[in-house]
Amino acid sequence: MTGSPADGVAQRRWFRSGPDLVWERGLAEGIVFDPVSGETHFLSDLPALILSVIDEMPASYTELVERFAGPVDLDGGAQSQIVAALLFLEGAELVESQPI
Amino acid sequence: MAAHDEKISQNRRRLFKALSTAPVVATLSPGSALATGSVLQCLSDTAEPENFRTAVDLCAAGDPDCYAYRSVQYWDGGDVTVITPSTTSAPWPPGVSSLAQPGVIIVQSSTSPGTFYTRVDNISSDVIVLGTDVRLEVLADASGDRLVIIQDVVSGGNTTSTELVSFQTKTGAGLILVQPVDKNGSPTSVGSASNPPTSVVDTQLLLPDAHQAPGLPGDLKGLAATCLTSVNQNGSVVQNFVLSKG
Repeated sequence: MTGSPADGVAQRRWFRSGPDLVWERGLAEGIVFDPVSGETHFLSDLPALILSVIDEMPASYTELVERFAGPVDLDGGAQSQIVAALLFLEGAELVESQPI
Repeated sequence: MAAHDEKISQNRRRLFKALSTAPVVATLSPGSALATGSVLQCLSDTAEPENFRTAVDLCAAGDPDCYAYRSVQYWDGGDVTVITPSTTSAPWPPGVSSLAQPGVIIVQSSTSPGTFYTRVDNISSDVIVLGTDVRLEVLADASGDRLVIIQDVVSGGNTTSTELVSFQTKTGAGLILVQPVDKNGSPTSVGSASNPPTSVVDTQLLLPDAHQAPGLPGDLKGLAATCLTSVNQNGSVVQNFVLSKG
């Protein structure tokens, strides 16, 4: 089980388009440069982890969690955090989404 | 299969750890400065690439060996960078002396062919690090506690820019080897300040890979960077960066 986030998020697929992100791995985790915006993002663990998964392959919420962590029970708080991170990444234009 | 399961198990732990941390996220826009140091900080500053461009290679875009060499330094506490003024015909721009302060590297440049640098204090050895368009000499003085980097950038046979950087080193110093990339993340060339190629997107240079050049002392792993104020050949204040051990 991966839990069920809000329907709006559960029914979307998250993906990246455009030039590849440039991950700066020499100094710390979670530093990523977006060539499209020219912005450098200093991401905390969760959005960095989510972005790295989506950067590899588009995923729905369920696929994202299962691909990374396998079947896992997440409580409502954890689900909300993941949803919030996804929405942040979308707001930062690091990922996009479309209905499944 | 066991390896896959172990990987999933590790990832699951990472996920729960990530869920337990505060969602701190910051974004650095091109041209902005961040209070804490980062290699990306200086290179995201619009003032930096001019100096960067002056200092580095002139090789072709896409060349996998197209690297830029930058001076780096780390020091202990109040160690002070040595300012090495030029005695050539090219005077220091007005106000340069006021920038002589601890931790500042002054870059000396000249557009006059034939103008050269003044070597400092008991230089005993020369090492040519780069050839062709960029000649970089690393010199150590007799006591071994000072490293001098002199870099000549020659563009089109009509411009010579000389950079002279000198600093004290207590724990070591070296160069980093970096590969500039353009806004699309592709390796790119960096032209001279006097003739920049129009294709260079100079506000978005990155250091995706920085590691120590061979043959220099010190372990430069785990680097943090600090922006420093410097001066270009026209007397404009530009930003430079110095890496320090994190």
